[in-house]
Amino acid sequence: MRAACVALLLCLAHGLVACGSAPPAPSDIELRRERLLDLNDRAQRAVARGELRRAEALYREALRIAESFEDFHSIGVNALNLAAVQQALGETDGAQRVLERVLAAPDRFERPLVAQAAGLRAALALQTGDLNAAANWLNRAEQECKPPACRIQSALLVLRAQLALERGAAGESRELAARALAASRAEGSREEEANALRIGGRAAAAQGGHAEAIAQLDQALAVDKQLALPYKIGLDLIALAEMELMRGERQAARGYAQRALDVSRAAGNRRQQATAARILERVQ
Amino acid sequence: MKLASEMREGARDITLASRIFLGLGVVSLVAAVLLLAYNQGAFTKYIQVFFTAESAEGLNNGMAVKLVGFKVGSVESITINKPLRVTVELKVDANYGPMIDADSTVRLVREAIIGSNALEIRPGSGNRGPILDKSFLRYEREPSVENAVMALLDQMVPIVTDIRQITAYLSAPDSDLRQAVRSVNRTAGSLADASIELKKLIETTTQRVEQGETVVSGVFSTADKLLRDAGSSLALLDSSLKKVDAAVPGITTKLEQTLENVRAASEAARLMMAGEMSGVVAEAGALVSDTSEVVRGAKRSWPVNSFVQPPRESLLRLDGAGGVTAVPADSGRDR
Repeated sequence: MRAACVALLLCLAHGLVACGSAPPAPSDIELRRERLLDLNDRAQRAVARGELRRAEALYREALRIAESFEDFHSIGVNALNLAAVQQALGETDGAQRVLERVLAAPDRFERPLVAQAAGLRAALALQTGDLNAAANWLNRAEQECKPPACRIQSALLVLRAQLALERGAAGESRELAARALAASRAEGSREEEANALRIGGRAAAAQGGHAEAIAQLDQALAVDKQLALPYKIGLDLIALAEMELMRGERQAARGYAQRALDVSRAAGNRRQQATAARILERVQ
Repeated sequence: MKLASEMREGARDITLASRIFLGLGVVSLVAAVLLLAYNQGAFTKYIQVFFTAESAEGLNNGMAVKLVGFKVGSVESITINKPLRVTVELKVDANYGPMIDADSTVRLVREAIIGSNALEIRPGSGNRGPILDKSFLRYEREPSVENAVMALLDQMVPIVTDIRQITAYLSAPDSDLRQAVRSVNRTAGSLADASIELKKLIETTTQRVEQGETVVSGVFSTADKLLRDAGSSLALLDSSLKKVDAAVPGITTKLEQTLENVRAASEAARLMMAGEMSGVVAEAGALVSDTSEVVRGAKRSWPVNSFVQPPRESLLRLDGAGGVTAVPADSGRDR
């Protein structure tokens, strides 16, 4: 009995030694994967700090590593992230080229990734004013986006509302913005909530509903300030300036445009600076 | 009877097997303990090495003693002697004794920026042969990065003062340069006025000559006066430029002095970066690398690996307004 107890204790001791021993050395692919994850993590932190150039470099390197061992999930994720950062930097051509890696061979990637790639492509087309292309990409994104795996419905609705507004259908845009607002609140996405409020405000202003426009744009500005998003704050201020200009309030428009110029200068966004400067020229 | 004897035999076999198992277990455990003791240096032969220091600041019992980055021993004891000197006894692996020169020095160094202190044996000339048991070595402290930065700051102070003086000189309203530039401006203004007057005069003269007027002499006298004015303006310009010319060498000398100071300071900074700082940065990098290796190993080890969630790549969420925010696509209302 005593011998059995000692044997059991010995077994336990050996077991503990075995469990606590050094794990096997990681393989080459594991090391690459670790580097990839590290780069992705650092890039995301760079985005949070607003260091988009740095984030771009880190995502590019992550994408290169992912491509080196053909991990399609990682290729898709890092290509989308890189394209989003390039879009924010105003490099639309580069962003389109990166998205082609996903959109040219959609069967290799998961559907939510393809949906997001198509959504990004639609946003890029809207930025460049190619409304027909934007509509086509948006249709494709909506087809690919199947909940619950795909969680970008509110962003797609915002893009749809923006497309309607750009086409001059302010009524349709307001309706879509209201749906996007409800969807974003259901998703818990404060960023899309502010986007929906901004588009809704612009659409209301286009229809002459200035009081509602001011209320929505002020709400969007408050949310964006809470989230500390300089690009969005700039968009809100520009929308407010345009709205004030529309109803002939030149002094108020100048104030908003000047604020938008200051914000975009501080954030280093040249495109927004140019837009704010154009409004200031118009109100001089 | 047969059953009883079979049972006795069976019990004997079990006892024998369990004793063999127990014996094997004891042997392997003893072997493991011996291996551990060997790894911990229980069977290593050491030599004693001493050094004296003015202060025991930064020194601790058990502190590592390193030779070209390898741990070759540790601090055994630190004692205070009568004339307020500190004697430190080192325990150095005897295998490394032949590699340490008798005129080597012991230096207190910091392992990376946030690392612990260590003693580093720096090679001597080698003329006095290798170290022996109970030898005394010379001790020195590593110049700290803080001191180097302070020295650099000391060099920067005169530069800043020079730049301030030059700026004050250039911006002073009564400085030679300012006055000269003002005179040049004035002269240039009067020359411009004179040229306008001259142009008008030429136009009038042309008109009158065409009209056949004979009273051209009055016009010429006016022209003569204007030319004299222009001459005096040019003389003033010349004197102003002379002033500028006289002021420039002083400025140039001051600028040269400042540039020399800048060059000396940048040279000092470069040396510091190439020498001490690069070492510190390299060591910090190595430390970070080692730490991440240790953390990575710990994460993969049982039982930590069952508690640590495997890391995942995060996808930035699509933004309807074309911006980019560091919100992962899979984060929802739980944010």
